[in-house]
Amino acid sequence: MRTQTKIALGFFVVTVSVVILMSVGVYLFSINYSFEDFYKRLEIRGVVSAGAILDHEEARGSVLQEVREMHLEKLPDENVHLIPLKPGQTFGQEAARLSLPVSFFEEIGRLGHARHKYKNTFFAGIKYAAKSGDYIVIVSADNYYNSHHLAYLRNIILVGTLCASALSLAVSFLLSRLVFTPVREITHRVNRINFQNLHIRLATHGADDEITKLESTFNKMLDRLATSFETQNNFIGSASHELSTPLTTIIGEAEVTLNQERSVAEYKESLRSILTHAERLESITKSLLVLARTGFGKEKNEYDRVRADQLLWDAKQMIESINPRSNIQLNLSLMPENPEMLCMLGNETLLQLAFSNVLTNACKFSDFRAVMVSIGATNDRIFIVVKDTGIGIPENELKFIWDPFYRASNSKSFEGYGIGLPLTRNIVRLHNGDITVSSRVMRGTTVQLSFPTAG
Amino acid sequence: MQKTVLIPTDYTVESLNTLKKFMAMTPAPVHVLLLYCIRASDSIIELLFGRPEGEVDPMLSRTFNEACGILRSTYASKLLSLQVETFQGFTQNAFQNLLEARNVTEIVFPAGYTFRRQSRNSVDPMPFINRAVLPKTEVFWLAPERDTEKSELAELFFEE
Repeated sequence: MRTQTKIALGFFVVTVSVVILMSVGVYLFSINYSFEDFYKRLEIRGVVSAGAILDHEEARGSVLQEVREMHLEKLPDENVHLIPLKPGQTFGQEAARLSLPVSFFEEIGRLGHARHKYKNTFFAGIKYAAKSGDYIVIVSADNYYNSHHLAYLRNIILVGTLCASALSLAVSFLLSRLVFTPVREITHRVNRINFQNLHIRLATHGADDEITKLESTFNKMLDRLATSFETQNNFIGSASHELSTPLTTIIGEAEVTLNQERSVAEYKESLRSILTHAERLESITKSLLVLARTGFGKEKNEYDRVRADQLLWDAKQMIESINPRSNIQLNLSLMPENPEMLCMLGNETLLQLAFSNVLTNACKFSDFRAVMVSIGATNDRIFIVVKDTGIGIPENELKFIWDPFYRASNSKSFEGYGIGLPLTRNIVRLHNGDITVSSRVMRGTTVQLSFPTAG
Repeated sequence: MQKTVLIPTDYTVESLNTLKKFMAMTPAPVHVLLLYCIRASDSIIELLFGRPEGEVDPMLSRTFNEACGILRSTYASKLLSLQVETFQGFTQNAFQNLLEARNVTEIVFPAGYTFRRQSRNSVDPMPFINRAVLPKTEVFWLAPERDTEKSELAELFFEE
């Protein structure tokens, strides 16, 4: 069932049940009130009639008689029965005559009044103390109000309930349609977007409501998709360019060398040049392979416990052995007292690759000035901060640094292919970590890595 | 008796350097109370129903909490407890009451650091501290030029 129908039905059911509940309540309370009212009228008539008949010689009696004759309208089927009350009397005979239960009489004797109802005929009995002794006065009449007024009320309520139900059915379907119109529109518009027209965005309609939020969320997702498509395209372009440059050089070198007979020294020279470029080609291909592996293969099975600080030391040593000019200073002032807190789950080789990438960048782009590395841990995360005083990254280029082969505009004079940072990020993500880079041109760059601690 | 140290803060990672420096110096284990001062609101509705936390919580950034966590684990044995408290009083007496209620035995404050106002209601804690009658320690540290890191953990990691 569609959500729209569900909402409409839900609304309808709630409305109708409220209406029905109210109608039933009104009807029941009206019946109750009308019975109560009718019995009271019968009782008053009983008192008046008994007074008028039994005490007609007295002043009070004559007034009552006058009231009875002049003002009291006869009720339909009105009957008054007067039964003298004697001690020890059983009412079997009277009960049979009036077709009333004996308990009715007994109740009058005991409480002074009683009520009974047979079909539409109502009986009210009271005890009346006349001059000549105690009497039981029984007044019976047909409840005209019950049979007519209440039937009328019942009809009104029935028709009203039906009308209200029909109305609420219509309104609930209309309302739910109205609510879901924007959602349908969004579905319709999103359906039209595919990878060829990723630039299309949903038009947001100003108001600060859920639909606008949904639309802007969609738009943001499309932005991200478009960016990643673009990155992919750029990636292929840059990769082919990076791969073709050394290839072109190799081919050119070989062609020039083969043009004419050359001396052994010249052949050696040219072969050496070809070798250098082939090596460069190989290293690019290798790093691309690693990038691809870290980016897609989620091989979690080979994770083991590693110490983050140990990895940092290893990375530092490795970099210093490759380039002795590197100056990496490990700041241990915030090391946790408990070394267990520096343990994390990870692949040692990959993590070391990531750390050495970050550290190498820091050394390289700061012309081998001092690079500060600090490590600290909270209860559930390890933080590593690397800070250099190098050339920095222009602010408007910060968002591109994660794209493979992207190189900041001020880094052209430095060696590199632009694979290190994306690779590092892939590795960090594999380990559920976070990497943030903040930078100011010519002042330096700070890279902050954080990883979850091992249990 | 265990010492309780009060350190003013402005909820920046940078201000935690006072705590870091102090922990490096102090030999004995201490309880630490980080204090942030705000002015109590004039609005009757806020006085009745508002809590100081309501105003302060948004300022407690994730980075600040992480920095606190790092300091906690760095000085796990010396730092017995690290609490963050908000002071809303106007008067020196109110401040004195707070110090007594929390059994503060010493105040540590940074030299030459201007507290940053995180909100309209922020109050500089230094006047209260200057007039308080308790042993005071001044800690000096030099923040790195705020170049690359804006309220990031690096502010805590690299002070000189």
